[in-house]
Amino acid sequence: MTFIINVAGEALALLPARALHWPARHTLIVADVHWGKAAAFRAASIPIPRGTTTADLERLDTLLAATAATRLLILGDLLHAELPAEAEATAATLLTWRATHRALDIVLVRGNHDARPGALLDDLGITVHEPPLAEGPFILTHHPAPSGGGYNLAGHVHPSVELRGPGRERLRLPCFRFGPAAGLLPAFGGFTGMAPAEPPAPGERVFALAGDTIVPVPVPTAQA
Amino acid sequence: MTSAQGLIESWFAAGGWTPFEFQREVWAAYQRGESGLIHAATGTGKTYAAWLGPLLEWMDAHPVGIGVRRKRMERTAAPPLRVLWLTPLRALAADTEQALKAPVEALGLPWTVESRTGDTSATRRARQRERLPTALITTPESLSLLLTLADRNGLFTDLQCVVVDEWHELMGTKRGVQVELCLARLRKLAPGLRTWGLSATLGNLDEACATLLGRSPGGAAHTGRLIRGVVPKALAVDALIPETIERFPWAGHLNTRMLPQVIAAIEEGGTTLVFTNTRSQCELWFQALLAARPDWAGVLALHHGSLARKSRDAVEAGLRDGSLRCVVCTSSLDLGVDFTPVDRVLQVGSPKGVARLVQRAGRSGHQPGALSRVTCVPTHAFELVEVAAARDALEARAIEARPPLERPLDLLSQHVVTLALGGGVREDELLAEFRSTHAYRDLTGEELAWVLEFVTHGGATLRAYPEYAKVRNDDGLLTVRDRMVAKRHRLAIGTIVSDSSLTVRFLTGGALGSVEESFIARLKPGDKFLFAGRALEFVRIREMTAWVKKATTAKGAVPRWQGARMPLSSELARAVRARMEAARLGRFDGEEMAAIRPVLTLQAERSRIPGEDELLVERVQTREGYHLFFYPFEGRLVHEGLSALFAYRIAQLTPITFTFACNDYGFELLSPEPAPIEEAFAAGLLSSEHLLHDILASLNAAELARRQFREVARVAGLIFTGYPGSQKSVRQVQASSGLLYDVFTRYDPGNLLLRQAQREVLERQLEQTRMGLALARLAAGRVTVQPVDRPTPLAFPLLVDRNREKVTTERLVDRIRRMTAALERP
Repeated sequence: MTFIINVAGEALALLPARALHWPARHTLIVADVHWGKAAAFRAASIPIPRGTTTADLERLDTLLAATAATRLLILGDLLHAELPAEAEATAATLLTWRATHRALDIVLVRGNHDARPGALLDDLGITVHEPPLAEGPFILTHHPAPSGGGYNLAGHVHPSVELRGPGRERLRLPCFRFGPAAGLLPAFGGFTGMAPAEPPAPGERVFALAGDTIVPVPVPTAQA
Repeated sequence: MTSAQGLIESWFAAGGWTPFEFQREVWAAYQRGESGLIHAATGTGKTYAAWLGPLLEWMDAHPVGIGVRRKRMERTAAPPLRVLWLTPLRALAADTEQALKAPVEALGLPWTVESRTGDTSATRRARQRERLPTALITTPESLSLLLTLADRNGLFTDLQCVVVDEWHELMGTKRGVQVELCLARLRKLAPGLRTWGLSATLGNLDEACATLLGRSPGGAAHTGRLIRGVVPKALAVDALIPETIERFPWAGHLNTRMLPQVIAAIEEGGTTLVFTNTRSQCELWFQALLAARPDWAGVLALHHGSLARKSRDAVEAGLRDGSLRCVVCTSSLDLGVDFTPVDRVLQVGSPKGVARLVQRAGRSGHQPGALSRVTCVPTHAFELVEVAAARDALEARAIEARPPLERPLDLLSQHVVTLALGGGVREDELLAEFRSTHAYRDLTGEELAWVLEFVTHGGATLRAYPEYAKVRNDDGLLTVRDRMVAKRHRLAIGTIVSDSSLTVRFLTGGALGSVEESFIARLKPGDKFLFAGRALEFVRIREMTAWVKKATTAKGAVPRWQGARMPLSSELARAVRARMEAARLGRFDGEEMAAIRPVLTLQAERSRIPGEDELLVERVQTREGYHLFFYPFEGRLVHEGLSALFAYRIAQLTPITFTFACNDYGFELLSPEPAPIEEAFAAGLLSSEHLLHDILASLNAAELARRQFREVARVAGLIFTGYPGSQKSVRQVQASSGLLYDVFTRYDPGNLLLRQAQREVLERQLEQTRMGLALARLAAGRVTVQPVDRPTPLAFPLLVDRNREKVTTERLVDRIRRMTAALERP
């Protein structure tokens, strides 16, 4: 299921696997991937099971195949931390994945976790941009930075929204949020948490992600 | 009588006392090499019963030089560590030290007596590392830390005796299991070690003794002597009766309507302790009393576990010297060295258990032959029934048992690292050592292998990951080499009990105490809250500190943290059911029952009062949806389990979503569509068939195991709560326990820690055994499904409870559609 919405005059497809497709530029946009997070935990002697990074790569494969995107744009926090020297297995997994996507152009808008990424980003052939990166009507950053110079798309927040129903039912889900001047992407990484839920603000478009569906969340009107 | 005992008896005589017979009995048993458990109310001489045995033994062996007072003793002249005194609260260590020192000084023994806790200065700790005092008072955590010292083995060779104070408080907790594990190691380092426990009255004293003493390598439990202290004083329970009774009692708010009567009770004279069940209640009552009687400023104080040590000490000193008139407190004053007796004890809210009521009542009336009396202050009308029921249970001597824990593997993982740190440990000696404890007596070789795998490789799934190496295994010798691992482990040992907590500090500098991170996380800058008897405004969090300033007004300041909510014990629950049955038959004996009569009459009019062998189910529809109220009267924990189980079983019949709420009397299932309740009863809602399977399934559905994983993950070292000064490096390896639970469930479903979280929910949260018994009782009785027009007095407190769980068998998408549809409706 895909939602196509108009943001700042551009058609963007919202994908339930926590990514944004920009067909006009053949670009897949994600944020907060946090590759190697589990490896960083293991290096600190906290035994997190293996498989989180691999699962994220498989999800990325599916998205790239479905959208036929030729470019992957990451709004910061691609790597969770500088990979410890011992984490060769994780690095090898990433390099193998890259080898199967040789033609893919990968662009990273630097985030706070990418501050000291070591040589791995070079080895992976990733172009690193200091934020902000201006493209079309968009100002692309990691930290939200609405500036007026364009429509800001950002990550970093790991946004979530809470749905309520009759019988006092409640459910917290990751979400996309698009305000009048700025939009937020959900965190892509499978081993990442969510920020506390913020209720939708008037004038905002919020889309909750539930399994393989996207649900537009009704937003109160300004008077309510 | 030996000459040593003569000296002791004359020391007693000099103070104007004679030893109790039970004290002499313990001294003799100790000198015969026996171990055991001494049980009696607080403040009846248990301390000297346990302490003087080791002194007598030493004096008999060293008759020369006793009685020669020395001005200043050379440390090196004192005998090395002989007695280890474990106390559950480090706040008690100072008092204990005083009490133990008194005879040593009076008799001029060359012993040193010192404490070692988290409060001990670094210089003193360093000195103790060189040479431990003859008697050391410490906490379970500090003892574990001693075992991590590389040169630990030599420290304990002369150890003769371990005394575990307040064992009833430790047993049944992970700290108690930590004590068991430490004792197993100490018995190895010092063969012939004697163990004595001090305990309040419990329903399972034999088990308490067996748990403390452990087992021989052959598997037989060590035999111990159970010695009963001074026979309990006569005990009276009464209640302050409200003048008017709310017809819809609500337990959700902190009711201070009884304030005038409480003030009158305090005015009757003498020192009064006002016990509350939670810290927030404690803060609120303190504020309310002070607002009503500003002239009591200075003689009114509050005491709870989150306050800074200094202010707690001041309050305890004030109680001792009689300068305080009234102290509002929590269970923080349940324990400990006796305060000069107080004259009056009030209990705000139901005590929820008989043992607890006895303990608190015992704080009053210490004059010989005096009556111990506790006056309950109901915070809502149904608590009147609980007071009447507590008196019944007390008369029947139905004191609660406290079951010990069964082999928590998270703690074992922690302890293996502790042993590996202290100079290393041989892998092949562990199984026998661990099995010598009560908690791990049935530990299997596979479970131990899993634990060892977990601390060396991070578990089977991580075997291929060389970056993970907490403990090294070199040909069967387990050691820790990494200094960061060692440092983090030592810091983590102390975190068994508490959620990660933050210091509360004024911007101007003064520390007030500490509160759980989970509480502070809900505050926004500018929010006001009550703490340490003041209205505070939250400013920000930085470096594990919550910075606050004085609030200009106390208005809107609500204490918002919950603390542990005590469930009704099964003994008290049974007594409550008996009182309800009597009420159903029209008997309202005693002033409490007379007072609540109008409420129960309204209940009977709108619905019915459930009989002792009847499960009443009320069915009602409101704007919120379709409610089912069940009243088993089994206590909140059992109801949590039953509600999840019932929700799960009904939801098997039709796609439906329930949210539910529980209290001590019953639970509510609420659904957006009507639930097929009659069909569910016919299909075996109360059946014991597939019970375990259904409970496990409902547990996962309600995400209970996911929540319990928080504690398991912390003890096993998966979550590191950090230490001051190194915030940044720590943050990269912090994840919420919920996220960890999800990742483990998905990528390592066989992980034993997941299973432990499940088992802990089953046994501790839901009291599976009690739940099975409850279900059998309900199945043997009759069921009445009663449609009602409006919620009844029994239903009301459940109706307003906002803390809810859920179970669903609907598709996520369908639920979301309904929720968004509801949002769109005007």
